[in-house]
Amino acid sequence: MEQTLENGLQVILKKDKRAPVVTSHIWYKIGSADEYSGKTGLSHALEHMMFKGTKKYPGGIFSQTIAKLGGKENAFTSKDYTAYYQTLPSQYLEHALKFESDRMNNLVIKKEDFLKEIEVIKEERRLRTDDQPEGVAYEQLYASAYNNSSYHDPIIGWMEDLNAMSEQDISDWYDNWYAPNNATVVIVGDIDFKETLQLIKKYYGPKKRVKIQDRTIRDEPVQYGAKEISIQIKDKPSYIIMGYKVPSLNSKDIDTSECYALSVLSGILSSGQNSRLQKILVRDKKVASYADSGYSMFSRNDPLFLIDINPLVGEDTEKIQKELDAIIVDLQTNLVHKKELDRIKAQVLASEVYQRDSIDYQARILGMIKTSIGDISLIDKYTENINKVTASQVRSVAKKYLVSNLKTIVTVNDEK
Amino acid sequence: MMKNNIAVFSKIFFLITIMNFSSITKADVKILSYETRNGVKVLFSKSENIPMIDIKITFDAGSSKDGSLKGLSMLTHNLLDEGTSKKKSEEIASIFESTGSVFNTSVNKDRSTISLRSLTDEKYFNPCLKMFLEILSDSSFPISEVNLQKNRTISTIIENKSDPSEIASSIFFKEIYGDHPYASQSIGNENSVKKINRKNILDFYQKHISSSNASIAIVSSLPKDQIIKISEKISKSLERKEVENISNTKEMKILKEKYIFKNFKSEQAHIYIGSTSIERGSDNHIPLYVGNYIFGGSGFSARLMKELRVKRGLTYGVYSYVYPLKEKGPFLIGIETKAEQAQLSVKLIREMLAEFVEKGPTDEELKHAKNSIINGFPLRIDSNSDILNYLSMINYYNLPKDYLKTFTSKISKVTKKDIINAFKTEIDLDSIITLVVGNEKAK
Repeated sequence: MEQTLENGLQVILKKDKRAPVVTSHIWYKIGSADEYSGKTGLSHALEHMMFKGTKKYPGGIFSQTIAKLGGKENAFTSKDYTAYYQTLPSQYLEHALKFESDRMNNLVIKKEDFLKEIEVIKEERRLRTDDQPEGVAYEQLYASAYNNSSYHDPIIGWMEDLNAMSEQDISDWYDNWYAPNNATVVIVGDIDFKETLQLIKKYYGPKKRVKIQDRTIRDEPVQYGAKEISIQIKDKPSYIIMGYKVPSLNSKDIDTSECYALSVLSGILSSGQNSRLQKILVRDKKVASYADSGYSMFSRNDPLFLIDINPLVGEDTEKIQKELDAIIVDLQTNLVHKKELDRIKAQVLASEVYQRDSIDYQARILGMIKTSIGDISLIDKYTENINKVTASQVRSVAKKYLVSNLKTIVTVNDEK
Repeated sequence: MMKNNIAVFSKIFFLITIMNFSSITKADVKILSYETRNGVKVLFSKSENIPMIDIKITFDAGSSKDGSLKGLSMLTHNLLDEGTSKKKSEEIASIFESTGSVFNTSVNKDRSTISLRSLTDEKYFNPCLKMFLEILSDSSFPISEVNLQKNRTISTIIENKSDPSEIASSIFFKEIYGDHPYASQSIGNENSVKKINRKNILDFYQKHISSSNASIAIVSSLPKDQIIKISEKISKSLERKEVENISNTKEMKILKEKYIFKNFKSEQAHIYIGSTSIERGSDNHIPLYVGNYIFGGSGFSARLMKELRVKRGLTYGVYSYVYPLKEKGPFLIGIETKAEQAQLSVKLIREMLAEFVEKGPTDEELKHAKNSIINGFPLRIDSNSDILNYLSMINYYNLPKDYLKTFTSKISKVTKKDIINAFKTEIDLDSIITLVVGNEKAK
């Protein structure tokens, strides 16, 4: 069920009565892609500060109450959105809504809290990026691939910007973007639609609409050739990650069937042991220990079609790149086999059933698609659209997008 | 024939309903218990609404059964779906992939598991079950696959040497377990994996991946008569000619307090503090669980997180856990912090641990923790995969069939005194190992 309240808050409800449990999410249409140079990491830092309490419920009362009720809670920030959730026994749903709605506009951002929390965020950055060669490579890939698109900057922010950030920056960010007309509530679980909607109206209904600036999408200028970045780190395993600029369902003037074809292409490359990357790089040529690819058609800006490889220890990254090139040329020249297409289709069909085993996962899909693309009916049409993809469409998107003018590659090698 | 079968079921099936832990929730797991003709225990929970089946076979074949060839159990499990005498690796993968099913294995110190997730539609399920059974009865471990898998494993082991958390974990377990099989990592080490040959793997498969060593857990929307047929087929395909059950229980090391610093180039220091603690089935398990929940096992509600992250901004994450195994499992506190703050963090954690062992939780903390665990019980059993894991654990550790049913009432009875007693008995402050992996500034 989908509805929009008068103040602009979007509501999506889904029943799942398998267990007496509910998951309650709120998704804000704000992410790191809305930030600008010198102020990167604001959306994520604000997400951390959202746990510091309001005037009415100071400190950690929110979290303590959810814990006492047996609930789990957390939050996550991406390039496109910031989301908060609580999963708890369904009879306690009202508590989650009471606190979550309160911190939509009553957050207290204290300097002393900020000064400690920004250190926590720096530790998070050290853990996930600075001490992880793969994290550094991932960050460099996006920073190098994009000149103008705001996917250029890391979600967590550059360390230099974290050092310069103030509580006032966070406070402004909060005032600019957190409002009912810039959010979607998603609730999945053992609920009654009418009662739940009433609860949502009770807590979110009185919230005032705020003027929200348009979220800009900064288009990416033309790229003149493949970009190659070489990173050298002492005593670390080598690693390759590459990305091709591709469209998403949100791109301007896009034939959306291309997105489904790209998704199938990613499956052909990396899903399962008989996928091209696995079969050729890991099994036949024996040059990689792991190989993967990824593509999300649900991103707001044009995303990267990713391929990443962990070479077997001692294998030369240049040799692996040549093998990769051959795999791509083959996909651009020859049609993929019917067997390969059938495999992807069976897997999509099955995973649609399997994901019903998790209410949280269901809520995430709904929230993400609503926030990034706007149309959740895409979920129901997903399998059908994947099923329509033909071998020749897969070849066409490989020819059109897996080309050097859209390519960026980052290699990590041991310092010589 | 059919009639006959049903008569048998009603005798050996008994129904356990878990409903009464809390009047306010309707969380409910019905467990059916069954034993196959060749003696394999089966636990089944019916989950309506989703047309899928989850099967998990659990073996007493974890890495503690490796013997001197560390990594043998994991290598064997990783190779199970890489060939049978009739089918090649690609053909096996192709059957699982084209039916949308998922074949998986796991290995920890005690247990290993082989699992299958599939749609229940016969068009998909029949071919993948057939393949699954063939793997269980007739995995052939082709030499080319053995070599490939060995090389990948060795590559990962070498890569792990550049990861500070892997280094910390490897040193810590060696330190607390000494010569005991729990000391080694399931993946093995470079030398041991190099030494493993195809015959070692075949022997392990014959001796350990066997019906005499197995239990089965199933969660599915399929009816119980079908589950029984499936269980019989599985246990039959696990029958082995010769069965040898080597018991390699070894004395645990006597620990003495020790500080270890390992120099490693990283911005953050990775710190492990802990010792051995309890075995599964220990009377102290529940009080230790509740105590640890309060000390470091409940995220932001826990003392460690409140003090080191919220109050002081020292870290993104700090936690503690007690992990009971067949023999004494580990008690471990872990934290990552920038090198300059390593010694301060160690000092704070050691002080907090000493205080907790001495004084236990406050009344308010205890009340909060009990509420949290008891109210949160429905969340632990709200998916097929959660229930499957509980069934596997109950079977493997011979826990009472009403384990889930009595869990919350046991929690509600824990007192502050129980917690202090349990910590004093099981966590000896004079035998705590403190390990810091980090750069010179962390020393």
